[in-house]
Amino acid sequence: MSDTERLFLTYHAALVRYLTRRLGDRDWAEEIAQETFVRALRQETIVNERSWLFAVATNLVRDEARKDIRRRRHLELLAAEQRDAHVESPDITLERALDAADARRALDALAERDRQALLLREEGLDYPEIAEILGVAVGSVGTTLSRARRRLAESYEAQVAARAQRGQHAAS
Amino acid sequence: MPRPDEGLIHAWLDGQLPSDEAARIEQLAATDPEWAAAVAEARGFVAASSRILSALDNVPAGVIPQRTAPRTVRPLPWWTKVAAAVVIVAGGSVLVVQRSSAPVIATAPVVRVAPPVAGTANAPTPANALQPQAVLNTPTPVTPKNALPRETPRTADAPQRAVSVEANVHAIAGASSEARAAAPPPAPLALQGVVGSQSEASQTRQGMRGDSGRAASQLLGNAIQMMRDAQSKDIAAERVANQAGAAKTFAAAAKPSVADSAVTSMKSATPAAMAAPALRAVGGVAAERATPTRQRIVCYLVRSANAAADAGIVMRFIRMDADTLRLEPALGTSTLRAWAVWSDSVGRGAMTATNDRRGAVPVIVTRSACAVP
Repeated sequence: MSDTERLFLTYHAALVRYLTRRLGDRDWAEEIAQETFVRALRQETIVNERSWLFAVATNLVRDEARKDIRRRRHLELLAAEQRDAHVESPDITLERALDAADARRALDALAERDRQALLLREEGLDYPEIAEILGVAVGSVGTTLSRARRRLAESYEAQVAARAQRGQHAAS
Repeated sequence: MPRPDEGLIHAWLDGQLPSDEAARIEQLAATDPEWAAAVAEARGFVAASSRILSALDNVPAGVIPQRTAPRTVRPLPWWTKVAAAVVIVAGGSVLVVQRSSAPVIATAPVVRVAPPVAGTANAPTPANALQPQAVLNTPTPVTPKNALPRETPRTADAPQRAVSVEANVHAIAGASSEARAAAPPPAPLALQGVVGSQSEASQTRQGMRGDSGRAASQLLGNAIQMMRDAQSKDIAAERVANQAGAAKTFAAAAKPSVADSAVTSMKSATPAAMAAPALRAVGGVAAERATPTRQRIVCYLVRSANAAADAGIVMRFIRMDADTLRLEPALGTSTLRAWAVWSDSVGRGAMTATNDRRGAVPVIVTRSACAVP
């Protein structure tokens, strides 16, 4: 098995999951992941594969957002429409769709650095790798993660509570 | 006893602390209730955040519009482009014809008028009638009183007239006999432009040219449909030529150069041949005639990098994104898609199913004939 194949088999799923969570669209995530692996193929030496891949993917997302904000907004709009339409899908229950929407809003409520750290950690990156990607001290990653997790949970609970309240208003 | 440090607790829960530091936190959590409560809370946040984030994995795909959306028929990109070009040409010709205020007669190089036909020389001559010599810039004399009235039926009287416009003759020459029979004779266009007042003539011509343009559009549309139908039977050229001839006759009455361009584009039937001439033709510029060529389908054998060397599927080229090759199955309607980076006569990449993005396999891609091995 070549290095390329091993790299792909080892990290593709995690990278796509990270990007999907980050972007909210699997196709977009696949595109970025593919571009990341293409760049890895061009790279002659990679010291830390995992952090390199996630850093490149993170930068690609950032660069793309910088380059073409209008496209991103358009895609986010499409993604939102698709998510709304997805509520009607028989394959996914309404509860799951609402849960995903609440999670998305909660994640979007985080600061960019907190969100990045949380998503990277969820994919198994260790603190030095996260620190390298975010450009922060290793000692601050724990604090960043604790803040991110707390805010995510609290924001999510607030979303759920607000939805329940809306449901009660609608019922009455 | 130190106050609980949330960052430290999360780092400990994540297993990111050195062993001595981890042992110290463990001791604190076991002995100090405040630390124990903080650790319990942190465990809850860690678990909750993981659960919340996992809800985001269930997102729809297909949000980005893709050309490779599931199809039920084999894609025909060049036919589509041909159709688009022809529609553009036809639409453009109609627009050009309808909006043009300059008399067409001014573009006719020569007008010859035959001796008057009995019963047709009673057309009134307005005082401000257009003088044919001045407009046509031709030495051939034109006598207005010889002209036909505007109300004269076009098809009925056409054979009796010995009036010709070279541009229209040129158009007719390229049409089939069937198309020629169906096409209205072009002579009245020129003749009526001579006999009527300038405004009347212009209106008449525009009306007729509008008819011709619409007819051309209809025939061009028919031709497109015939091209599609005839593709698999390999008789498209002949049928298209017949329809194109008829279309050319009609369109030529509107604007010969546009008609030529439309027919040329239809016959050439390649994206490259169609794009430039057709678009130029809309502007009324003479089109370049492109050499007809067949689209070349390039195929690759896509093998799993982990499987036996002979196993694989034949996929066809979709497009290149920078140095990344995009492929889809050469046959069938599978949603498999592959990409690869080409290097040293072999491509390395991955293959996924667009309707199930959860799995992807690394593949090796090599050039192949477009047949299933």
